[in-house]
Amino acid sequence: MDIRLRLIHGTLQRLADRVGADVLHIKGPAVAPPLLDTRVHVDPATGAPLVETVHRFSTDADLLIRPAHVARFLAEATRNGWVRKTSFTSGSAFGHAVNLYHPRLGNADLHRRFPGLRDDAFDDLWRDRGSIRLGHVDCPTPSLTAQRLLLLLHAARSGRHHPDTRRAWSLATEDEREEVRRLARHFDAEIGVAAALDDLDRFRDHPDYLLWRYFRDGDPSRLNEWRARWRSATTLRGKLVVVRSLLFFDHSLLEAELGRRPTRRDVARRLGIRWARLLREAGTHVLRRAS
Amino acid sequence: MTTARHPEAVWEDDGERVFAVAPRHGDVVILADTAAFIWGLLDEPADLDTLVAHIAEASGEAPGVIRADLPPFLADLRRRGLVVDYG
Repeated sequence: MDIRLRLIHGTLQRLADRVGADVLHIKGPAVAPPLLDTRVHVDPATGAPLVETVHRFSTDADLLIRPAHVARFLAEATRNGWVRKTSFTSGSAFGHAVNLYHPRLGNADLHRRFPGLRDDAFDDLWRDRGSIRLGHVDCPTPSLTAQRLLLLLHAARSGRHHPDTRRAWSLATEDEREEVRRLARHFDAEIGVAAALDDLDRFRDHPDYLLWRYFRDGDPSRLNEWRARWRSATTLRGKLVVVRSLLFFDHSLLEAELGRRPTRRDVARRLGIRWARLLREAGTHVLRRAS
Repeated sequence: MTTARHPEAVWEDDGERVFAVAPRHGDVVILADTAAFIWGLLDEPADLDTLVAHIAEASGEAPGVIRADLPPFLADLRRRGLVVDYG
Protein backbone atom coordinates (compact mmCIF):
# COMPACT_ATOMS: atom_id res chain seq x y z
CA MET A 1 0.00 0.00 0.00
CA ASP A 2 1.51 3.30 -1.05
CA ILE A 3 0.75 5.61 1.85
CA ARG A 4 2.23 8.69 0.19
CA LEU A 5 0.07 8.34 -2.93
CA ARG A 6 -3.05 7.75 -0.88
CA LEU A 7 -2.29 10.93 1.08
CA ILE A 8 -1.83 12.87 -2.17
CA HIS A 9 -5.18 11.67 -3.52
CA GLY A 10 -6.90 12.61 -0.25
CA THR A 11 -5.19 15.99 -0.09
CA LEU A 12 -6.10 16.91 -3.66
CA GLN A 13 -9.70 15.84 -3.05
CA ARG A 14 -9.86 18.20 -0.06
CA LEU A 15 -8.65 21.04 -2.30
CA ALA A 16 -11.21 20.10 -4.95
CA ASP A 17 -13.98 20.06 -2.33
CA ARG A 18 -13.03 23.55 -1.14
CA VAL A 19 -13.52 25.08 -4.59
CA GLY A 20 -16.33 22.81 -5.82
CA ALA A 21 -14.22 21.15 -8.52
CA ASP A 22 -15.36 17.78 -9.84
CA VAL A 23 -12.44 15.35 -9.99
CA LEU A 24 -12.31 11.60 -10.56
CA HIS A 25 -9.42 9.65 -9.07
CA ILE A 26 -7.95 7.21 -11.55
CA LYS A 27 -5.19 4.58 -11.70
CA GLY A 28 -2.81 3.73 -8.84
CA PRO A 29 -4.47 3.36 -5.44
CA ALA A 30 -7.81 4.56 -6.87
CA VAL A 31 -8.27 1.37 -8.89
CA ALA A 32 -11.15 -0.79 -7.63
CA PRO A 33 -10.13 -4.00 -5.81
CA PRO A 34 -11.69 -6.33 -8.46
CA LEU A 35 -9.14 -4.95 -10.94
CA LEU A 36 -6.13 -5.64 -8.73
CA ASP A 37 -4.00 -8.77 -8.71
CA THR A 38 -4.13 -11.09 -5.74
CA ARG A 39 -1.46 -13.33 -4.27
CA VAL A 40 -2.11 -16.39 -2.13
CA HIS A 41 0.29 -17.26 0.64
CA VAL A 42 0.16 -19.54 3.65
CA ASP A 43 -0.38 -18.15 7.14
CA PRO A 44 2.72 -19.40 9.05
CA ALA A 45 0.75 -19.63 12.30
CA THR A 46 -2.29 -21.59 11.12
CA GLY A 47 -1.20 -23.02 7.76
CA ALA A 48 -4.36 -21.58 6.21
CA PRO A 49 -4.17 -19.97 2.75
CA LEU A 50 -4.40 -16.17 2.82
CA VAL A 51 -5.41 -14.08 -0.18
CA GLU A 52 -3.55 -10.80 -0.34
CA THR A 53 -4.28 -7.91 -2.71
CA VAL A 54 -1.27 -6.74 -4.69
CA HIS A 55 -1.42 -2.98 -4.85
CA ARG A 56 -0.55 -1.22 -8.09
CA PHE A 57 2.79 0.46 -8.42
CA SER A 58 2.53 4.11 -9.32
CA THR A 59 4.85 7.07 -9.02
CA ASP A 60 2.26 9.83 -8.99
CA ALA A 61 -1.41 10.39 -8.29
CA ASP A 62 -3.70 10.71 -11.33
CA LEU A 63 -6.86 12.80 -11.39
CA LEU A 64 -9.31 13.48 -14.19
CA ILE A 65 -10.97 16.87 -13.78
CA ARG A 66 -14.09 18.42 -15.31
CA PRO A 67 -12.47 20.68 -17.94
CA ALA A 68 -14.48 23.73 -16.85
CA HIS A 69 -13.08 23.35 -13.31
CA VAL A 70 -9.38 23.27 -14.22
CA ALA A 71 -8.65 26.95 -13.52
CA ARG A 72 -10.27 27.06 -10.06
CA PHE A 73 -8.61 23.80 -9.02
CA LEU A 74 -5.15 24.86 -10.19
CA ALA A 75 -5.54 28.21 -8.40
CA GLU A 76 -6.39 26.42 -5.14
CA ALA A 77 -3.57 23.90 -5.59
CA THR A 78 -1.11 26.75 -6.17
CA ARG A 79 -2.34 28.53 -3.03
CA ASN A 80 -1.55 25.35 -1.09
CA GLY A 81 2.03 24.79 -2.18
CA TRP A 82 1.57 22.84 -5.44
CA VAL A 83 3.74 23.87 -8.39
CA ARG A 84 2.91 23.32 -12.06
CA LYS A 85 5.83 21.50 -13.64
CA THR A 86 4.37 21.41 -17.16
CA SER A 87 1.61 23.03 -19.13
CA PHE A 88 -1.13 21.01 -20.80
CA THR A 89 0.41 21.46 -24.24
CA SER A 90 3.91 20.44 -23.16
CA GLY A 91 2.82 17.58 -20.91
CA SER A 92 2.38 14.98 -23.65
CA ALA A 93 1.64 14.35 -27.31
CA PHE A 94 -2.05 14.19 -26.40
CA GLY A 95 -1.97 17.59 -24.63
CA HIS A 96 -4.15 16.11 -21.93
CA ALA A 97 -2.42 16.50 -18.57
CA VAL A 98 -0.45 18.90 -16.43
CA ASN A 99 2.09 17.68 -13.91
CA LEU A 100 1.85 19.09 -10.40
CA TYR A 101 4.52 18.84 -7.75
CA HIS A 102 4.46 19.43 -4.02
CA PRO A 103 7.90 19.60 -2.38
CA ARG A 104 6.80 17.52 0.63
CA LEU A 105 4.17 15.24 -0.90
CA GLY A 106 5.34 14.49 -4.44
CA ASN A 107 3.80 14.38 -7.91
CA ALA A 108 0.34 14.33 -9.37
CA ASP A 109 -0.98 14.36 -12.93
CA LEU A 110 -4.11 16.40 -13.54
CA HIS A 111 -5.88 15.21 -16.70
CA ARG A 112 -8.37 17.53 -18.37
CA ARG A 113 -9.27 14.68 -20.71
CA PHE A 114 -8.25 11.08 -21.06
CA PRO A 115 -6.45 10.11 -24.28
CA GLY A 116 -8.70 7.87 -26.32
CA LEU A 117 -11.98 9.11 -24.85
CA ARG A 118 -14.20 11.71 -26.47
CA ASP A 119 -13.40 15.21 -25.18
CA ASP A 120 -16.84 15.53 -23.56
CA ALA A 121 -16.62 12.18 -21.76
CA PHE A 122 -16.39 13.66 -18.28
CA ASP A 123 -20.14 14.25 -17.85
CA ASP A 124 -20.97 10.59 -18.39
CA LEU A 125 -18.04 9.36 -16.30
CA TRP A 126 -19.14 11.66 -13.48
CA ARG A 127 -22.79 10.60 -13.68
CA ASP A 128 -21.89 6.91 -13.25
CA ARG A 129 -19.14 7.47 -10.66
CA GLY A 130 -18.30 5.36 -7.64
CA SER A 131 -16.10 6.22 -4.67
CA ILE A 132 -13.07 5.00 -2.78
CA ARG A 133 -11.61 6.09 0.58
CA LEU A 134 -8.05 7.41 0.22
CA GLY A 135 -6.44 9.12 3.19
CA HIS A 136 -9.81 8.77 4.94
CA VAL A 137 -11.33 11.05 2.30
CA ASP A 138 -14.15 9.97 -0.02
CA CYS A 139 -12.65 10.21 -3.49
CA PRO A 140 -14.94 9.88 -6.55
CA THR A 141 -13.84 7.29 -9.12
CA PRO A 142 -15.14 6.20 -12.50
CA SER A 143 -17.50 3.20 -12.52
CA LEU A 144 -15.91 -0.26 -12.58
CA THR A 145 -16.58 -0.65 -16.32
CA ALA A 146 -15.16 2.82 -17.01
CA GLN A 147 -12.09 1.90 -14.95
CA ARG A 148 -11.58 -1.17 -17.14
CA LEU A 149 -11.79 1.05 -20.21
CA LEU A 150 -9.38 3.65 -18.81
CA LEU A 151 -6.88 0.96 -17.84
CA LEU A 152 -7.04 -0.49 -21.36
CA LEU A 153 -6.52 2.92 -22.96
CA HIS A 154 -3.62 3.60 -20.63
CA ALA A 155 -2.13 0.18 -21.38
CA ALA A 156 -2.38 0.95 -25.11
CA ARG A 157 -0.14 3.98 -24.59
CA SER A 158 2.39 2.07 -22.52
CA GLY A 159 3.82 -0.47 -24.97
CA ARG A 160 2.75 -4.01 -25.79
CA HIS A 161 1.74 -6.59 -23.19
CA HIS A 162 1.04 -4.14 -20.38
CA PRO A 163 -0.18 -6.00 -17.24
CA ASP A 164 -3.30 -3.80 -17.05
CA THR A 165 -4.63 -5.50 -20.18
CA ARG A 166 -4.74 -8.80 -18.33
CA ARG A 167 -6.37 -7.27 -15.25
CA ALA A 168 -8.92 -5.21 -17.15
CA TRP A 169 -9.68 -7.56 -20.04
CA SER A 170 -8.18 -11.04 -20.01
CA LEU A 171 -9.56 -11.80 -16.55
CA ALA A 172 -12.96 -10.21 -17.29
CA THR A 173 -16.07 -12.27 -18.01
CA GLU A 174 -17.71 -12.07 -21.44
CA ASP A 175 -20.48 -9.89 -19.95
CA GLU A 176 -17.91 -7.51 -18.47
CA ARG A 177 -16.09 -7.32 -21.81
CA GLU A 178 -19.35 -6.54 -23.59
CA GLU A 179 -19.96 -3.67 -21.16
CA VAL A 180 -16.47 -2.33 -21.92
CA ARG A 181 -17.09 -2.63 -25.68
CA ARG A 182 -20.41 -0.78 -25.30
CA LEU A 183 -18.77 2.01 -23.30
CA ALA A 184 -15.88 2.22 -25.79
CA ARG A 185 -18.40 2.69 -28.63
CA HIS A 186 -20.18 5.38 -26.61
CA PHE A 187 -16.91 7.28 -26.01
CA ASP A 188 -15.47 6.74 -29.53
CA ALA A 189 -12.71 4.79 -27.81
CA GLU A 190 -12.72 1.66 -29.95
CA ILE A 191 -9.38 2.42 -31.60
CA GLY A 192 -7.66 2.74 -28.20
CA VAL A 193 -9.14 -0.54 -27.02
CA ALA A 194 -8.03 -2.15 -30.27
CA ALA A 195 -4.50 -0.86 -29.65
CA ALA A 196 -4.52 -2.42 -26.18
CA LEU A 197 -5.80 -5.74 -27.54
CA ASP A 198 -3.33 -5.89 -30.46
CA ASP A 199 -6.09 -5.37 -33.00
CA LEU A 200 -5.07 -1.91 -34.19
CA ASP A 201 -4.79 -2.71 -37.90
CA ARG A 202 -8.58 -2.67 -38.18
CA PHE A 203 -8.25 1.12 -37.84
CA ARG A 204 -5.55 1.82 -40.46
CA ASP A 205 -7.57 4.68 -41.98
CA HIS A 206 -8.34 6.37 -38.66
CA PRO A 207 -6.59 9.77 -38.12
CA ASP A 208 -5.27 8.53 -34.75
CA TYR A 209 -3.92 5.24 -36.10
CA LEU A 210 -0.28 6.36 -36.25
CA LEU A 211 -0.45 7.96 -32.83
CA TRP A 212 -1.78 4.80 -31.16
CA ARG A 213 0.73 2.68 -33.06
CA TYR A 214 3.54 5.00 -32.00
CA PHE A 215 2.69 4.62 -28.31
CA ARG A 216 1.72 0.94 -28.44
CA ASP A 217 5.07 0.08 -30.04
CA GLY A 218 7.08 2.30 -27.68
CA ASP A 219 8.59 3.86 -30.82
CA PRO A 220 11.62 6.00 -29.83
CA SER A 221 11.53 8.07 -33.07
CA ARG A 222 10.62 11.73 -32.56
CA LEU A 223 10.02 12.02 -36.28
CA ASN A 224 7.37 9.31 -36.15
CA GLU A 225 5.78 11.04 -33.17
CA TRP A 226 5.48 14.30 -35.09
CA ARG A 227 4.12 12.50 -38.17
CA ALA A 228 1.55 10.81 -35.94
CA ARG A 229 0.59 14.07 -34.23
CA TRP A 230 0.25 15.83 -37.58
CA ARG A 231 -2.05 13.11 -38.97
CA SER A 232 -4.08 13.01 -35.78
CA ALA A 233 -4.78 16.76 -35.96
CA THR A 234 -7.77 16.94 -38.29
CA THR A 235 -8.47 20.67 -38.10
CA LEU A 236 -6.40 23.67 -39.17
CA ARG A 237 -6.21 24.81 -35.56
CA GLY A 238 -5.03 21.36 -34.48
CA LYS A 239 -2.32 21.31 -37.13
CA LEU A 240 -1.18 24.80 -36.08
CA VAL A 241 -0.83 23.56 -32.49
CA VAL A 242 1.35 20.70 -33.74
CA VAL A 243 3.55 23.07 -35.73
CA ARG A 244 3.82 25.46 -32.80
CA SER A 245 4.89 22.72 -30.41
CA LEU A 246 7.42 21.50 -32.99
CA LEU A 247 8.99 24.95 -33.33
CA PHE A 248 8.83 25.93 -29.68
CA PHE A 249 8.79 24.03 -26.43
CA ASP A 250 7.58 24.73 -22.94
CA HIS A 251 10.50 26.06 -20.89
CA SER A 252 8.95 24.71 -17.71
CA LEU A 253 9.93 21.19 -18.78
CA LEU A 254 13.56 22.25 -19.13
CA GLU A 255 13.34 24.12 -15.84
CA ALA A 256 12.10 20.97 -14.10
CA GLU A 257 14.92 18.97 -15.65
CA LEU A 258 17.65 21.50 -14.77
CA GLY A 259 16.27 22.39 -11.35
CA ARG A 260 16.66 26.11 -12.16
CA ARG A 261 15.31 28.68 -14.56
CA PRO A 262 16.87 27.99 -17.99
CA THR A 263 19.04 30.67 -19.55
CA ARG A 264 18.75 31.71 -23.23
CA ARG A 265 21.80 29.56 -23.85
CA ASP A 266 20.07 26.52 -22.27
CA VAL A 267 16.99 27.07 -24.46
CA ALA A 268 19.08 27.51 -27.62
CA ARG A 269 21.07 24.36 -26.83
CA ARG A 270 17.91 22.34 -26.25
CA LEU A 271 16.36 23.59 -29.49
CA GLY A 272 19.57 22.65 -31.30
CA ILE A 273 19.46 19.13 -29.87
CA ARG A 274 15.79 18.73 -30.87
CA TRP A 275 16.35 19.89 -34.42
CA ALA A 276 19.59 17.93 -34.87
CA ARG A 277 17.78 14.78 -33.79
CA LEU A 278 14.81 15.42 -36.06
CA LEU A 279 17.05 16.19 -39.05
CA ARG A 280 19.18 13.10 -38.37
CA GLU A 281 16.06 10.93 -38.26
CA ALA A 282 14.68 12.60 -41.39
CA GLY A 283 17.99 11.97 -43.19
CA THR A 284 17.99 8.31 -42.16
CA HIS A 285 14.38 8.04 -43.31
CA VAL A 286 15.20 9.55 -46.75
CA LEU A 287 18.25 7.30 -47.20
CA ARG A 288 16.23 4.23 -46.25
CA ARG A 289 13.53 5.11 -48.79
CA ALA A 290 16.11 5.84 -51.47
CA SER A 291 17.78 2.48 -51.01
CA MET B 1 -13.16 22.99 25.54
CA THR B 2 -12.86 19.84 23.45
CA THR B 3 -10.34 18.86 20.79
CA ALA B 4 -10.78 16.66 17.70
CA ARG B 5 -9.13 15.90 14.39
CA HIS B 6 -9.36 18.77 11.94
CA PRO B 7 -12.19 17.94 9.51
CA GLU B 8 -9.78 18.51 6.61
CA ALA B 9 -7.05 16.21 7.97
CA VAL B 10 -5.94 13.49 5.56
CA TRP B 11 -4.45 10.40 7.12
CA GLU B 12 -3.49 6.78 6.69
CA ASP B 13 -2.72 4.08 9.23
CA ASP B 14 -0.37 1.20 8.41
CA GLY B 15 -1.25 -0.68 11.59
CA GLU B 16 1.73 0.66 13.53
CA ARG B 17 1.94 4.31 12.60
CA VAL B 18 -0.37 7.09 11.51
CA PHE B 19 0.65 9.38 8.62
CA ALA B 20 -1.28 12.64 8.73
CA VAL B 21 -1.35 15.69 6.46
CA ALA B 22 -3.14 19.00 6.65
CA PRO B 23 -3.83 20.03 3.01
CA ARG B 24 -2.96 23.65 3.82
CA HIS B 25 0.49 22.72 5.15
CA GLY B 26 1.49 19.61 3.20
CA ASP B 27 3.81 18.28 5.93
CA VAL B 28 3.48 14.56 6.54
CA VAL B 29 3.42 14.02 10.31
CA ILE B 30 4.20 10.49 11.49
CA LEU B 31 2.63 9.42 14.76
CA ALA B 32 3.65 6.20 16.52
CA ASP B 33 2.84 4.43 19.79
CA THR B 34 1.02 6.72 22.24
CA ALA B 35 0.79 9.53 19.67
CA ALA B 36 -1.00 7.18 17.26
CA PHE B 37 -3.28 6.05 20.08
CA ILE B 38 -4.18 9.67 20.87
CA TRP B 39 -4.92 10.28 17.19
CA GLY B 40 -7.45 7.46 17.39
CA LEU B 41 -9.08 9.10 20.42
CA LEU B 42 -9.48 12.37 18.51
CA ASP B 43 -12.03 10.80 16.16
CA GLU B 44 -14.68 12.47 18.35
CA PRO B 45 -14.28 15.78 20.21
CA ALA B 46 -12.88 15.05 23.67
CA ASP B 47 -11.86 17.24 26.61
CA LEU B 48 -8.51 17.00 28.37
CA ASP B 49 -9.84 14.97 31.30
CA THR B 50 -11.37 12.36 28.99
CA LEU B 51 -8.20 12.07 26.94
CA VAL B 52 -6.02 11.77 30.05
CA ALA B 53 -8.27 9.05 31.48
CA HIS B 54 -8.19 6.98 28.27
CA ILE B 55 -4.42 7.31 27.85
CA ALA B 56 -3.76 6.47 31.53
CA GLU B 57 -5.93 3.38 31.25
CA ALA B 58 -4.22 2.17 28.08
CA SER B 59 -0.63 3.01 29.01
CA GLY B 60 -0.54 2.66 32.80
CA GLU B 61 1.16 6.04 32.96
CA ALA B 62 0.34 8.36 35.87
CA PRO B 63 -2.46 10.82 34.96
CA GLY B 64 -0.41 13.73 36.29
CA VAL B 65 2.42 13.05 33.86
CA ILE B 66 -0.01 12.70 30.96
CA ARG B 67 -1.81 15.92 31.94
CA ALA B 68 1.53 17.76 31.75
CA ASP B 69 2.65 16.25 28.41
CA LEU B 70 -0.61 16.25 26.48
CA PRO B 71 -1.28 20.01 25.99
CA PRO B 72 2.06 20.70 24.22
CA PHE B 73 1.48 17.67 21.98
CA LEU B 74 -2.02 18.85 21.05
CA ALA B 75 -0.70 22.38 20.54
CA ASP B 76 1.85 21.01 18.05
CA LEU B 77 -0.88 19.16 16.13
CA ARG B 78 -3.02 22.30 16.22
CA ARG B 79 -0.14 24.37 14.80
CA ARG B 80 0.22 21.84 11.99
CA GLY B 81 -3.48 22.11 11.18
CA LEU B 82 -4.25 18.54 12.22
CA VAL B 83 -6.54 19.15 15.20
CA VAL B 84 -9.09 21.80 16.05
CA ASP B 85 -10.67 23.00 19.31
CA TYR B 86 -14.38 23.32 19.91
CA GLY B 87 -16.21 25.30 22.60
